[in-house]
Amino acid sequence: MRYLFALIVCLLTQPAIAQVQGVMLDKPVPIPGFAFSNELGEAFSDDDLDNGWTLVMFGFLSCPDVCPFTLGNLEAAIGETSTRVRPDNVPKVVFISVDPDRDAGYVGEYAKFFHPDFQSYTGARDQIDRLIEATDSFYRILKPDSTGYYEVQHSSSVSVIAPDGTLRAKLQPPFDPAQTAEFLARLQITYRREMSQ
Amino acid sequence: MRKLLFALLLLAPVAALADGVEVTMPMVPVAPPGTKVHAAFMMISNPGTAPRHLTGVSAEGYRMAHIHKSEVKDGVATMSPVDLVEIAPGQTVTFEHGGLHIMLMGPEGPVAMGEVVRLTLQFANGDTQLIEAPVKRLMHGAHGS
Repeated sequence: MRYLFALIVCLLTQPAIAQVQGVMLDKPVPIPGFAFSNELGEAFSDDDLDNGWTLVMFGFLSCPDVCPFTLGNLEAAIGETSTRVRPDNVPKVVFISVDPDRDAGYVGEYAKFFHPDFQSYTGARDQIDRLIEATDSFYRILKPDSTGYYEVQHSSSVSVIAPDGTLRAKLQPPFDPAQTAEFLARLQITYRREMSQ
Repeated sequence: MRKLLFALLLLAPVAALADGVEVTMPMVPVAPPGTKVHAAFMMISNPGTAPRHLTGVSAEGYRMAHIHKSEVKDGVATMSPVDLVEIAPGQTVTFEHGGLHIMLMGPEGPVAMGEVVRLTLQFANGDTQLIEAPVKRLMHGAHGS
């Protein structure tokens, strides 16, 4: 009987767990100064956080599965979000490559493939590490194989930065578009309420 | 004798099926510009009676192709090479986002929408099977598919 109860609890809680698309931080974390750029001459720094909401994702271009899939899902999620929030509150999506050695030459075109407004950059190792640390993210470049090819491990979550330049939340896979949009809209309501107090 | 012949006739179609695996819905999601590595997805079924072991893949127009597996463990996306994929009789192994995929490395040129990537699956028993995977846009938002 107890097992049956446990089974029912499992069945009831499973979908709820699967539907968590993001986590709001208890305390906002200030983002320190940083500077990134790409081969198209575009630049991204902490000054660019001021004008709205920003979603920052870390990855690398030789990533066959997770990175393109995440950006594809974010494209759908941003489309959904734009139906729920004011145009100036639609988050800007920024992809940061943690693999500048391989990616610096063509990183700029990468994110635009998924949405013309998406941006992608890379930069000096210390800049990457600073933003990784500030957003409580992670990456590791693995040892090259005999052909010189190497893998990169990286956080799968996406950092949500508010217009005041603080980290407010993390989005998590699978980035279901409707639920991610709902999460972002609720986060913005919480933020505005806090700001008006 | 006649009985034996009859038995052989009955077995014949089964033997033919056992020769090959069935590959359905092969596809290569169209890759962003400048991509040096991207993926191919498909479903491989084994309608035969003996287990089949996929040990490698080659791709025309690419420097190399690997069987790979992506995983998200404790919030970290990792990938690892896979040396052997067993497809048991009656089983279907799905190569899809977030799991197994064929990693296509070093394309000779840009791979455009509507083109076809020719892949050769290699099996442990020496068999090979040619697959034509069309380059398509991966649909997002339909509940993660």
